[in-house]
Amino acid sequence: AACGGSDDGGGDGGGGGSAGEEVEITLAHSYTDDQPQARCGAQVIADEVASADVGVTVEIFGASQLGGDADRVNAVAAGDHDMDIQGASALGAIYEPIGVVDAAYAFDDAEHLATFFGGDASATVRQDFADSTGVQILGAWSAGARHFTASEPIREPADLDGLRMRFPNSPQYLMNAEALGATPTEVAFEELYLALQQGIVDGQENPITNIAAQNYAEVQDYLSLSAHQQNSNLVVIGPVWDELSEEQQEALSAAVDAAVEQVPQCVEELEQTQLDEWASGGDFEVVDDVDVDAFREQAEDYFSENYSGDQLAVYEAIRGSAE
Amino acid sequence: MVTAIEIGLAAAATVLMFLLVLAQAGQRYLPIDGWPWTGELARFCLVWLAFVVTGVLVTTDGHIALEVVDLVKNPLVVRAVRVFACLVVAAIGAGFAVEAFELMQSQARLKSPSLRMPMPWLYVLPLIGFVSTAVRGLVAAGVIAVRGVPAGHAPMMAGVE
Amino acid sequence: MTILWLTLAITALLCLRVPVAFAFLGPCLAYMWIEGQSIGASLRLLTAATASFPLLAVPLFILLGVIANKGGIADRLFDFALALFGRVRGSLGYVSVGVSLGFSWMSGSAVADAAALGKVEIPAMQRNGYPLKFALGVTGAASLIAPVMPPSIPAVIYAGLAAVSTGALFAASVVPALLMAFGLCVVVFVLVRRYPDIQVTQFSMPRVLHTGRRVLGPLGAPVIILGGILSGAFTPTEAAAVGVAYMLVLCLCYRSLKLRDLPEVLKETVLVSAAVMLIVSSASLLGYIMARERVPQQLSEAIFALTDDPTVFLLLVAIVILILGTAIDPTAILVLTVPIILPISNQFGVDPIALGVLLIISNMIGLLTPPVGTVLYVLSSITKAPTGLVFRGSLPFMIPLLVICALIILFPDAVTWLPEQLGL
Ligand code: NA
Ligand code: NA
Repeated sequence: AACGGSDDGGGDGGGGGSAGEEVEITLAHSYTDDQPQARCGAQVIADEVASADVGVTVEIFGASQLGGDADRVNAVAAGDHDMDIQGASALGAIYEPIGVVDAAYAFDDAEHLATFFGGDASATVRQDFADSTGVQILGAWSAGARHFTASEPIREPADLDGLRMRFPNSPQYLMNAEALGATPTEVAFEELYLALQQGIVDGQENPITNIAAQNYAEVQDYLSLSAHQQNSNLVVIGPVWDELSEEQQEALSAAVDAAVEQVPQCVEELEQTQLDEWASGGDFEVVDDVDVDAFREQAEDYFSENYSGDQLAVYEAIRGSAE
Repeated sequence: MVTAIEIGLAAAATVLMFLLVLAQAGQRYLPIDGWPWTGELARFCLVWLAFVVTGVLVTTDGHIALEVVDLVKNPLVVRAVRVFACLVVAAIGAGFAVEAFELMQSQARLKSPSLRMPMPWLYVLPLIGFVSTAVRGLVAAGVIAVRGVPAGHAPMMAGVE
Repeated sequence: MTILWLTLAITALLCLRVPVAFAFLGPCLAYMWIEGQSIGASLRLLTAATASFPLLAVPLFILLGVIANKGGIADRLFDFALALFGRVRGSLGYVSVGVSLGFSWMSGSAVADAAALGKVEIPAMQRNGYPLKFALGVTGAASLIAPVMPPSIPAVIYAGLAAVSTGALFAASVVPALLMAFGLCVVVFVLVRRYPDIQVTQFSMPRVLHTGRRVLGPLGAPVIILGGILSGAFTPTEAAAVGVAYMLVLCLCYRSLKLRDLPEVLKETVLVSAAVMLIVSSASLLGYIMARERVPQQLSEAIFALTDDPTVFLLLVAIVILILGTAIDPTAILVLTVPIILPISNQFGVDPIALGVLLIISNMIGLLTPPVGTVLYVLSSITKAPTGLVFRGSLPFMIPLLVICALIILFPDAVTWLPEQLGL
């Protein structure tokens, strides 16, 4: 937790704000230093906050040092560390409707996701999330679209028939599998490489940067660019938020905005380099003529039918904000 | 009797875990829709198995310890150290029982991703295990203080080294 | 400063015979409460570390071992091994290494290997006049082949952290794993000359055939486990469960195990598994605190400020890992140090695959070193031998392991030769 609690009467930060001692904010995430979420995300936040000079420093703990995603979601809500970068599905563990952000084809593209979280369209869900969990959403970016890799090319929903596809084990991802017409198969992330290598499952889905980092190209034949989901990263902050002065809150929000601005560029550069490498290598075929519209229509029909209540409201807010 | 219940719970968790992992392997080969929750429940079983018998292991001296102090010749010193160790274990058991109880409150609203199991259930068996650890630690401390250190285990060591 | 107090408290409690798990849990819990972490955070971390799918293999392989042991499988295997190699002095020592080598192709973790084989091998060696210290040492050291030989759980973890090819890392690990087996056999050869009491039997073909028929059933277990994994039928964790099912049916058919024996089998399994899992999870809580206090970073940075020579650098890496390995769980060490070591290693021009093999082997040695060595505890727990005896028994077997580390440090390029030949 922060060494804060230094709010000695000063109050609502109308003026000076940073009176008193330095507030140290711990930011945990699961990415290694060279991944865009760390390089262009977490580090940018820390640097921007430092240069704002409002008496806040952000200390980063990357690479799941403070625990796996599921555990850190609980930890940030309990205030055991202050900030985190989490996928919407993982946050769905403490507030289910937020998981809808990870619904297949909810967003048109990465920019749509960033503008949704930066604008009024997301005000209700952000407020409901904060009221329910005590955790604020400061901003979000997409770490790239998720695509299928498999032993076969996947161009249309029917191509998923008979393929055992590994999806992450959370309610939203399992719904995505159904929406897209896939048969989800459970494999722990730690065993996925082996399972793909040995044909225990036929395929999986992840953003390009993850596919590259985990070397799935070695054990899979086709990458089908379905872009069926934006891999959301939400920057969240726990109860310490209320201890910050207005000036500090603004500086932190601005820092997150700067990161939201920079990450997509970093991701895109990395994805392009990787796609070029695969194209020249030859043993991992990139399928770029996926019938995205067919998948998209099927997914929209499925979610309009299967969501209700708060989840449907979030889904409609997202779709309503599409261009 | 209490010991039998604690071991019985752990044994049930083990059997369930075994069947779930088997089922997870089997469902890929059977013409049925897989259950996505088998892996999750199996992992919870491992938690139950690991924590419910921590108390029993205190009574059976089954927890792994470094036997440095056993080399000391003075039986009174050995006895005092063993009593101290049991009291420490009891205190830590009590501390984690508090943690388990607190988690059952604070995670009351949460459900597991696949199975939709209320998360407090995960901490029920650890709570039992740690309460048992506290009680058994105190009892063991009393027994050793009054009757002395029980004869050591290690039947296999006889005649070796 | 905090970390100094924590270390002192843990050491003091360990010396005062507080069980290892509690010697960690107590000071860690105190730290968490003093540092203002939420009440419940510690137990949440413990359960999160325990609820891991690959760890399910630990109790399953323990169960497999208990069933095999109670069902008399150990006797059958060792009767056959003795009939076959009985004339060779110290045959059971070589058999032990060989069985671990075979098992390593199906197990990705030393803990599971030690649990499954220790129950079988150690009693058999004792019955045949081998000193317990030797039996514990060779079994413990040989179990370290499992996480080096593919499939390997630490290799998968490292490949993910370092963004290198898992396949290449697997390929690079095969030769070092075979070297480990060879080195352990050399130590067996040297040691058994000092034991006059071990049995040496005459070779007799009828005996080989008779005992051979009796192991056909048990040998089906590795075939099912290994074949299941290699053919892609099961993941390693699932293969453990299938192996248990097979062994259970087999022993019931042999009538060496009755249904009424099952409660006893389960009781032994849960008590051994729980003792091991509690330590594994308490080590992860300590790892969390270390990470929070940035201990691995500080330690590594201090040492890496000392040199600009790649060989010295790799030597320092190995030493740091061996020191950390005495007290921290190997997986935790990988997670904590790879992000720090890898960038520095790249600056030195060291191949990340070679670094990975070195990290994995030096890390695995920590499984045998006190105060925290999971293999140490597994063997201690299943044989009721003190951990000190296991450690002293394994000391001579660490020589070849350290020699292999030294070879990798001196010739890191040799490690990457095989994967390059395979085009990985
Ligand atoms: Na292996
Ligand atoms: Na160790």
